[in-house]
Amino acid sequence: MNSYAGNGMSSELAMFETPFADISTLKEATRSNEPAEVAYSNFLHELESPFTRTYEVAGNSAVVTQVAEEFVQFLGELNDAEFSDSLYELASEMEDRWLPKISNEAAMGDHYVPFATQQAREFITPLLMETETMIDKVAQHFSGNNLSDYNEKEIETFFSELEFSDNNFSPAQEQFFGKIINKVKSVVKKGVDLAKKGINAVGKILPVNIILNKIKGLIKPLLDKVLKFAIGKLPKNLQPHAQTLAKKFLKLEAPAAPESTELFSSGEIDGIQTEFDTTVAQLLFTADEVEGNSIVSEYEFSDEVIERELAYEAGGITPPSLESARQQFINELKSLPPGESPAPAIERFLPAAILALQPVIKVAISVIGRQKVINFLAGLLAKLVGKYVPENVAKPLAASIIDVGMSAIGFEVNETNKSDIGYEAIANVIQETVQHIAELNEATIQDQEALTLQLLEAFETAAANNFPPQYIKEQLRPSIQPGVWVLKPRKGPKHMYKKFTKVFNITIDPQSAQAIKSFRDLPLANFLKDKLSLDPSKPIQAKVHLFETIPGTKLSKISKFENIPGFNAQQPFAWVQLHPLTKQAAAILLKEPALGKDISQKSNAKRHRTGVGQRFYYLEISGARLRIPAVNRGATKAGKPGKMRAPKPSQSGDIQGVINFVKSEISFSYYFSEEDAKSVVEKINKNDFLGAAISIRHAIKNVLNGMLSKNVSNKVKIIHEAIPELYLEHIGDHEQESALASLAKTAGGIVLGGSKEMLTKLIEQLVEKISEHAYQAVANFFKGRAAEFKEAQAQPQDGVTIKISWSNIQGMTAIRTVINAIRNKNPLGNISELTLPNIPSPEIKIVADKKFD
Amino acid sequence: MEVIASHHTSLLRQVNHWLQAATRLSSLDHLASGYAWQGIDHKIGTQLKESLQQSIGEVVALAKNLQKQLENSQDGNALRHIKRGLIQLRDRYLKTEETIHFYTVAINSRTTPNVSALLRACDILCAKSMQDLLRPLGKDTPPVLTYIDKGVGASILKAGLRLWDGNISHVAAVKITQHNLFRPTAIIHETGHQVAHILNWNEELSVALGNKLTNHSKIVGAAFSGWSSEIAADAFAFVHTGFAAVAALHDVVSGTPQAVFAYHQHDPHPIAYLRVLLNIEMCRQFYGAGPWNDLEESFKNDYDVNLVNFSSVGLIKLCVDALPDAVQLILKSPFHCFGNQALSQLVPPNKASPQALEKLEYLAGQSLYTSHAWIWNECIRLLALNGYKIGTGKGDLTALYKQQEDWMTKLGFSVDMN
Repeated sequence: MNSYAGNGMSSELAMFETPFADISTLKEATRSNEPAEVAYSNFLHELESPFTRTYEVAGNSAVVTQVAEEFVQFLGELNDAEFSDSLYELASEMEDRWLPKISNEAAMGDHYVPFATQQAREFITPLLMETETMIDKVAQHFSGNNLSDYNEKEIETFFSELEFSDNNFSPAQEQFFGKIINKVKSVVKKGVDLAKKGINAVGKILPVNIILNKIKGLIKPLLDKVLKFAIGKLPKNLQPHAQTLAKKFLKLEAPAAPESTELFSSGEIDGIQTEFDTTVAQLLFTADEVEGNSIVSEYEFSDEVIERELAYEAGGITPPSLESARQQFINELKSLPPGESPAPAIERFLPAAILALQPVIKVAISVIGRQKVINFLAGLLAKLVGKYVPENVAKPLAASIIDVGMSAIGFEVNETNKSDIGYEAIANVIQETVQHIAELNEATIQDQEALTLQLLEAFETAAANNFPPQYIKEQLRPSIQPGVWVLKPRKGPKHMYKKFTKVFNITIDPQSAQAIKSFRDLPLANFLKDKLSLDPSKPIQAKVHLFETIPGTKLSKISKFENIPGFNAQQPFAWVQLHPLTKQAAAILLKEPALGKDISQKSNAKRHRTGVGQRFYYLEISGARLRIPAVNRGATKAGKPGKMRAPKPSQSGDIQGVINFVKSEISFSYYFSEEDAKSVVEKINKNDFLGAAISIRHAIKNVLNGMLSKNVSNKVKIIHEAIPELYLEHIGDHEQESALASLAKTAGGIVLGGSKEMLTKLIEQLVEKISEHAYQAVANFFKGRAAEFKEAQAQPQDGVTIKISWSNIQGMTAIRTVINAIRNKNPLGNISELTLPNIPSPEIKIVADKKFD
Repeated sequence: MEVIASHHTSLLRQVNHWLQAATRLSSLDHLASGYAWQGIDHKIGTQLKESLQQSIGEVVALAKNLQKQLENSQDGNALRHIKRGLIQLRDRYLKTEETIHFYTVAINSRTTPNVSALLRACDILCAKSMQDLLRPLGKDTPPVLTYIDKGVGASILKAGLRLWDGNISHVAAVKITQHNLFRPTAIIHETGHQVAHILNWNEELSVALGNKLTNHSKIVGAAFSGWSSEIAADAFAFVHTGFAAVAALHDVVSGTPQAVFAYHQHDPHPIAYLRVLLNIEMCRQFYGAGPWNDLEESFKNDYDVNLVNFSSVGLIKLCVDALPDAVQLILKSPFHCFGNQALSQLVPPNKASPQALEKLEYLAGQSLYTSHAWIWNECIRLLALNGYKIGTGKGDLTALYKQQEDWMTKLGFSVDMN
């Protein structure tokens, strides 16, 4: 058995049992059986509640300047949880401008980006012009030195009466335009507010009209960044870069090298808002115009600067795009002379595959290290896949893939009888193997045995996903039902995602619909009810289509290339019908747990944050249709002709918490979907108060508070001078923890987690405590003021928001100080009592529509 | 020889003519405006295009085949054979054109965004009405395309039937009349035809009416039996929308006395006089006394059977006596096709009773016509409610029509915004 000899890898391979069914076993595989190392998380629960202890800050605590307070408050006001969504939709519409005109993106090579940019310009220009005109109008109105005479109501009136010519805008353009108006409004309000407070409080600032003029200069670069995101060229670590800006302003310690460990298949769009908001805030607090100009120009070129930095770190290597590298690889395999090793071809393909997975792998390996890894991996992989490269093997392989996937995929006629798809499967296996190697760093390269083990394990999974089941040993097949993942679209500008060849016929029973969670931990039942108008208390027949993301996948693009009822190019917002195929969902819906993949909390929060290799499903249900209510577009209830607003699919329940340490305020906003609100009102009208109370309790306790407690990191906005990130999820995972040593001592020698973990724990406990009060407040509200809720539900808008806010909460100042200590790495002194002694009665507001702060 | 040559040329010219005509037909996107195509459901659009394309493809294939035959045919016999083929080709072309023309008119009736939205609302109403009955029986609901046309009465081109071109239609095309756009209970009558066709209820009901009205003269059973398909559709509209359907039907058939009392042999429609009274009897049996009593009174006053001397009067009088038994049979007796249940068990008419509708209005409060949750879930009962109010003829009728237009527009805009 000498077929593995050569390339110096025979010993490693001899140990390995391949996943392929037709290769005889050499030896039992040695599996890495690392003990599940218990991390610091185990110690965490020993950290007692912050409400029973106080960390008193010793001596020279950080001086909180009023500017810092105002700055973070303003950041909080600017931040709009849905801004990224609208940027994503804008990018998606931009992409629709060029995608249909491109038959092969890889073949366009260097012409692709200029072509796409040119096509997008036609889309961007009118939007840019209208936005700039709007800002001009506002600047003109709020010029002069009587700024402090305006009150908030006057400002609101001015903005509500502002006229635009946005009639030809697409839904996404309209949404973007509206969001920018809101940001401009926040600037004006804050400018007026600061002008009233005077120079003593915040120092000299520029007049609002000058600031607005500068902000006008940010719109083009902002739209360019969205375009870059659409093309897939937005730097992947824009978010950490953006945060250092705020930290610099606040003179907080910024991590030396910004890093991002999360890899999104389509890049990170959230960074765009963070950078924009921070830049706007910087402008507002700038004393002179020169500094203002430099802020604007920094913003304009930031992405290029980051890109140059990245390129420098990558050693100046700019590999071809993954798509063209893959094409080239397939061609090389096809023309490989019999008997020759595919290793050199793989070596040429790997850099593109690896760099597509930046920055996960990039950060860990130096340029020299990378070449070593590539040579090593290529040698191993060549051995593993070499057997399938000869034409007489590849052709039957292709035939069986086409066989298993004919009905679900719809292969092109010219693909049958060819070996291409067999080679495509080999390329997929190699690419995915790299993707599955969890840790690739200088240390693993030194330890070849460990690296080999990692690679073999990754290879096993990758092969099982991409080869037809009959090629794979039974116990390694990813599903009981035969199927294989195939790249799609089969014909089009480029491959954009994978689809599983098996479509499952299932029945969703009421229990499953409640148990399965979709994005934001929303029960599937809520989705079925709110968006598809189905009754989840009855069994629902469905066909399940499975998709997987590849580098570059945007969920919004999948439906453009599918032709499934309810999920096709004509169906607007079709992509909101995709759900994460978690292990739980796969087990319950398909009885195929191995087809599921759990996703990170960050990805779970938003549909646009999709990682590479994540899986999603679409439910094709006969007769079900996505509801896109016309609520905003008809006449308003008062009979006034309402302004047309961009249509949106009906929304499901949601929650937002805002913890404002600067003002000692906390607010919770509960959003009831139209369906939920309707059923509550129906019960109230029926005098079924108990039933209404049960519905409310279910919505708040089981769904919304559950959603909040599982997603504190992205559902709670924190206003604190030491947390310009606003959300816990934006705080880097590996912040330095110098201060914690001292804390650890005072806490009795317990090793605590990083500062992020401390903060998270703190906020989580705060949220938990307030949640109970919030539920009580809502329950009391319904006893006395149900009529207001009924009134709001009857408005034509989609759903109802209940906002509960507590102000002047005693004890928050103490927590604020603790947070300062944690983040400023100040030494902490003795621990004494720390509580929220009594939570005052809250103020409750009810509004129609989804209105979050 | 010359004759043969000229015959050959003539045939070739004609085949070419029909071939190019068929080729022109095949650019389906040009038949209706882009807007109109966008206004219809994607699935329906795709299915229609596919099936029309198939028909055209068959015509083109036929023509090309004839062309080929012509290339190799020199003798008179062969040319005569081709001539027969040519006649067949003309026929197929014209039938295909007829089919395409029908759908072109239907699709193009979605002229503006608002009309398109109203028709999409009708599509939804039709689909929902069928789902209510078909789903529990485990049957698929066919897609529906509604369109506006002139005239007094609605109609349906059922899915599952052969079209002019010989192909099976996959989409039910329901015509709604201009005058009834905001009072469209008639489309539920039409989907009743579709449902009865799918379940074979017509045949079963016909047998039942023919055999089970034993307390009455035989000709009564025979007459009702012959009207079974229309009675089935009326019953379907009634169980969904109650009095609204009855009042709308009354208004549609109330023409000249000749038309109201006329009896046409082989006409599946009952004598209009009887049809109105049959529908009123349905209300009475399920809802007791109500505005239908007034309707009956005024109807009988307008069309007094004792004052006319049409030949149908005798039959009418016999049938009137049988109405209570007929309703009992139609709505309350089990049928095999309904899984041995009665229609009123599967779709309870009481959900559309005046009391139930009043309750709906009360429970939903002011949000009934504004909240998309209500509109979407209760669109059929909203149709019943508005139709009921209009049917009673009280209150601000203009406002009621406007209200109907508003909620239907909302419903239509909430799917497939284009």
